[in-house]
Order: sequence, then structure tokens, then C-alpha cells
Amino acid sequence: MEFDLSESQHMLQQTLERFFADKLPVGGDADKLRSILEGRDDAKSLEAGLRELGLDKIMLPESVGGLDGSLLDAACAQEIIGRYAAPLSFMTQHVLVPLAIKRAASPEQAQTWFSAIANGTMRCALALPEEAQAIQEQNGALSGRSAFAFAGTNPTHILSAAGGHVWMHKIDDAGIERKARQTIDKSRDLAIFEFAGAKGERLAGENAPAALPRLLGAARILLAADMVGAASMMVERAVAYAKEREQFGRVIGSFQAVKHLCAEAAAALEPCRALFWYAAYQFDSDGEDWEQLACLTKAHSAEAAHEAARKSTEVYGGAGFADFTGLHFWFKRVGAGRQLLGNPDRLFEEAAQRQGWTS
Amino acid sequence: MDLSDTPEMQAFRKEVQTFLKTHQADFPATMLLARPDGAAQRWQQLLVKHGYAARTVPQAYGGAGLPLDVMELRIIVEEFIAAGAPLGLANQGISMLVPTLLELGTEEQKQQWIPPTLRGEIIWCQGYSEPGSGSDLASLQTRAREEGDDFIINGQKIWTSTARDADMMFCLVRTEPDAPKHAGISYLIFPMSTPGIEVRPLKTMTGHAEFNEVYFTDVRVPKTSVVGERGGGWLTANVTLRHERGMLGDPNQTEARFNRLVKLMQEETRDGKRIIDDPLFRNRLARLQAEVIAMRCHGLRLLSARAHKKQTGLAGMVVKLLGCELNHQIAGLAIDALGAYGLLYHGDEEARSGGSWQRLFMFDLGLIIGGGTAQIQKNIIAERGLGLPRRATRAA
Repeated sequence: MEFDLSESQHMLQQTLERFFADKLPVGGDADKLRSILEGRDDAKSLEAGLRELGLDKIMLPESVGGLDGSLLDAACAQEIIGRYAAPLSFMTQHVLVPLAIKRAASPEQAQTWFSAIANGTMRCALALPEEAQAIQEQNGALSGRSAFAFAGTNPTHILSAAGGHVWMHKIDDAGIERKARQTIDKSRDLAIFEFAGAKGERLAGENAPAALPRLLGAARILLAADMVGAASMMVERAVAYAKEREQFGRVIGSFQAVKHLCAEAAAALEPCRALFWYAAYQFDSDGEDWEQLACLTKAHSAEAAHEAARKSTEVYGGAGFADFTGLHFWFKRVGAGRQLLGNPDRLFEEAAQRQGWTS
Repeated sequence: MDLSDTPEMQAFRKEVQTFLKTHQADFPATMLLARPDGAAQRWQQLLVKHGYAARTVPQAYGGAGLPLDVMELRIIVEEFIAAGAPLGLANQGISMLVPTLLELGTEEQKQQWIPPTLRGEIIWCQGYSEPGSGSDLASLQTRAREEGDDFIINGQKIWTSTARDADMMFCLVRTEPDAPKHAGISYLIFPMSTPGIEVRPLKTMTGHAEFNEVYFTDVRVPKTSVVGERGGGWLTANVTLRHERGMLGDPNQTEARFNRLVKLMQEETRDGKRIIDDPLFRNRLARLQAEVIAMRCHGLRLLSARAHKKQTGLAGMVVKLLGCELNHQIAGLAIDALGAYGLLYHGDEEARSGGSWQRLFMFDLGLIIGGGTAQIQKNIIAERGLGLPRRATRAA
């Protein structure tokens, strides 16, 4: 029995950690991240770096130069991306879309699309069923609105769900309009997509109906990893701050109350790591209850991450509340992850239903 | 990640299963009596013979003498639980005193004390905490004054579970009153029948006397009672404490308790509706379930790390804190689910499970406090896990 990440998964995390520590250093006022989130800079060099590391191909098949990765591989990467609140569409563009194509597309569709994704000519946005999604399908034409779609950078296509199927549309085609979405979390690429009788291509694979639950489960596990990462960084920054900041003639980290805030935050997060590893592992091996596990993992991680985010901010004191340290970028990253694709109460209820607790 | 057994572990698991099937008729009713009865002692002997108890204790001292393999130990626990078989004796003597003697005892002490302890013939109690020395254990005041070849002990211990049934005590006393706090302590072992020792039951909020106070009035013990270095008792004590902390917050017990809670919420009704059909209670139950699963996964992660001789760091420091709190919360939800009926205690006909949820709820609060309070746990996590400074300091 080996309940641990593999050597290569550890190395993946270490490589990504070094990459982001260089490109998005978190000290001071997190100015590099800030300049991207405030629109003075873009994420192009980050995306290029990701490509150089081969992470854009992590879930693509080896036939197109991909790494044929597992969800656990992707979740390992996502945790580090969350640690830096990196404004990258890794989760949707590079993990969920390939997963959907793998599961729901016909062999012909998969071959065409994987090649195009691999050479960068096809970039997919993703509209998963959300609270405010009502897309209807009639004769292969989609109408309705995805209020919280993941847009990605300069998407050429959009993958969506309607009528029990998964659909691929060209964004430039008639009947699709994209509108901006302003949330608290500028590190995420959320957008509104409106469909007005838009004709697209149905993913025609044998396993297509099973694709949607798989996508939701995978997305929830990735969001859990992202929140654990982001909250962990907040705790690290808070601890570093507590070792430096002096009040009453001593570093504030020497006060028991401050120690306890940090300890509680760190302790709450720690089991979440083993939990999302296990959930991803069960997803990858099609183990029993992976859907229920995905719900519980995301719900629990969201609560632990929120506790850690809140306590870290309090350790930072006024500086945590102020804009200038940029700590709030992580607070919002955690908060956004909490609401997307099911917040804790909704997911706890779904998990309860799945195991037959209701009559 | 690979949660399957290696071929060797698969074979070992089958071995354990076969043993349990073969010896089903020998299962004693319980191993948990303060003084193991004949059936329990025979079961213990059988287990040691097959290496399912005292597995890593050298054969020279009555153990099975097998190498430490945390995976094998886990398989033993899993299979015994699955078969409803009682595990080997896990009293204080076996879980705390024996490892301490193995690490720091003389050959004579090991030969004299380990074999009968492993057989369940000698019952031990722990004399550590005092009314004035709980979290600050090193401040203990029970004095052992030198007189010729003996020490004369005066003082008091508290929270001594099993003192009423114990044959022997392992006890921390101050032998060097002029030495600095941590350097003046010695670890002694002596019979509870020594004149001058008085045991008084200590009732807790549960209404039961799970613990005792022990009073020492001019108790004479030979100087050879010392385990480890004289004045080095703090080091010796820490070996014991390390083994004690590992016992608290065990995820297996928590999972069993959680499953009983689910059953309770499916069976109990209010106004004709099952409690579990109430979304508010269902929400709380699902929240606890996520914690139970998280702690199970976390336990497996730690087990795997230790099996592969890796450091566990902060991850290894959170089990007692989180596990004990979780147990308490599970009992708390059971009581809330029962409402006013959750108040019923021993003696009321309608008390569910004889009021055991209330007893657990209260005793669990004791466990959050005992064995290292939650606040001490947080200090340890902060200082040793996160590197925050122990004392008031300026910035580096």
C-alpha cells in the first residue's frame, strides 16, 4: 500500500512551485499577480511557461504528444496553481475539455479535436451545468444561457451540456454571444455565454451520457485541490508575517492566540490533501462512490479553506484587510471556488441523497 | 497512489484470516477488563505465539520478536475488527511501560517486568499528573527523598486510571530538588501494595470514577526502582508520552461510532418522521461524514509514510487534536438528534443505548483535555510544525 503521490507527481509539484515562485512571487504586495488581475499585464508569459512545461498537454493522448495524465496528476498541478492564485485556464481548457472529449467524443471527433488542441489552433471554453444555467436543445440547436462559463483565453470553441448531451460549438458561429462576468475573483475566467438557436456538433461517442457526471466530479475535485493550495499559501504567508510583525515589544507569532489561529488553519487543511488525493484516485480507477466522494471532498475542502483563509487574514491584521498586501486575492480565490459547481450545503445534500439517506 | 496490498501483504492477510477462522471458538468475551481473566490471558498467549500481539517485542522478553512493519500491524487490526475478534491486550503496561523499558530499562528490569506484563498477569498504572502539574508536567512536586538504599516518597498523583486494579505503578518523582525543573525528575516503578500508598476514586462529570487520585505518605522504595538515568526521568517520561499520544484519536473507532450515529438517525423518529429525513440534521451528518473520511485518508497517508520511513512533519501532529474533537462532535449530533430524549441517562428506561451517547460526549471532552490539551496540541503544531517562536522574541 502506498498512500502518497508518486515520485513524478511530487516532481511535478516541485517544478510548478519553482516556476510560479519565479513568475508570480507572492511577497510584498504580490505585484506581478496584481498587475495581471488589474489589467495592466496579461497572462501570456504564464501560459507560454505552462506550454514549455508541457502542462497544456497533460491530459492529451500520447498520439498527439500528450502526457496521458490522470486526474490525480492534474489535481497535483491544480494545487500549485491554486497556491499562486494563478490566472490560468488550466482546469477547464487543459483538463476538463480533454476529459470530456476522451469520454464523450467519437474516435473521429477525438482525433480531429485532440490534434487541433495540441497545436493550439483549438481553444475551448466550458459551460458546465450551474445554478443559473438553462440551456435547451431542439433539433441540434441550443438556446439559453450559461451564466458562469469558463471562458479561457481567446477561445475558439465552447463545450457545453444540453438535452443530456455534450456539444461542441464554434464561438464565431451564428447564435453565440459572449458577455463579460464581473466576480470578486479576477483570477478566474468566468463569462456569460448566450445561445440563440446555435447549431453545433454533438459529441457522438458511446459513453457520451456518462460524460457529464464525470466532468462535474472531476471539476469538483480540481476545485478542492485549488482551494487547498490557495488556503495553504495564505497560512504560509500569515506564519511568515507573524514571525516578522512586532507589537508590544515582541513578534506577534509569540502570542498564543496568534499561534492558535495559525495552528487551527494549518490543521484544518492538512487532511484535505489526503482526501483529494483519494478522491482523484477513486475517480481515476472508477472506484465505488467517486461521485459522492467528489461532493464531500469539495464541500469539506471549501469549509476548511474558508476557515484557513479567514484566520490567516486575521493574523495579518489590518494589513490583511487592506488591499496593499494582496492577501485578499487568495481570499477571493478560495471564496469563488466555494460557490462554483456546488457550495458546501448543496454538495452535502447531494452526497446524502446519493447514499440513500433520504426516503 | 496504490491502495492494494503487495503480494506479500495479501499472503499475510490470508494468514491472519485463516488464524481467526481456526480459532473462532477461542475468542474471549472481552480483553478490556482491568484485570484480564483466564480466557483473556489464554487468548493473549495464543496471539503472542502467532505474532498477533507483542509482535515486535523481543522473544527474550516474551514477545513474538518480529521486525516492525506498520503495514502488517495494520492488517492485523483490520482483520481482527472484520472478524469481530478481540485484539491483544492494550493496557497501559503494554502500550506505555513495555516500550519504555525496552528503550531505557536494564536487562534485569526487562526480564523481570516485560514477560508477566505481556501475559496480562501484571497490571500497571501511570503516576504522572498532579493537582498542581497538568499541562506543566515537569513542575511536578511529588518528592522522593534519599534514605540509605531507598527513596521515601511523599506527594500525590491524579488522573491515574486503573490505579484501583494495578499491581505496579510507573511514577515520576522529584529526586533532585536543587536541580533545574526538567533535570530533577526520576522515573520509578514500584508495587501498589507498598505501605503508604492510598488510592481514592476520582469521579468525573460522567458520574463514573474512571480515574483516581493516589496519595503517597512516606512510601519506601529501593533506589533500584529507577528506570533510565536518575534525574533523567523527563527523557524517560517523554518516551512514554510519545506512545500514549499515538493511541488517541484513532480513525477506526471514529468510523465505527459514526456508523452507529447514522443508524440512530435512521431509526429515531420525531413526529413520525425519521431524524435523517430532516435536512438540517442530514446536513450535519454529511459534514461529519466528510471529516470521518478525511481522517481515514489522513491516517492512511501517515501509515504509508511511516511504513516507508518518511518524515510526517505537521501532518503527524494533528491527529489527536482533530480526532478527539470529531469524536465529541459525533456524540453531540447523536444527542441533538435525540432532543430531550438525549438527556436521559443511566436508570431511565427510555434512555437510548443506556445513555451512552451522553457518557461518550462528556468523556470525549475529557479526552480533548487529557493526554495533551487541545491548546497544548495547537502550541506544538504552531511551534514545531510551523516554526513560530516558543517565547517572546524580537524579529530575527
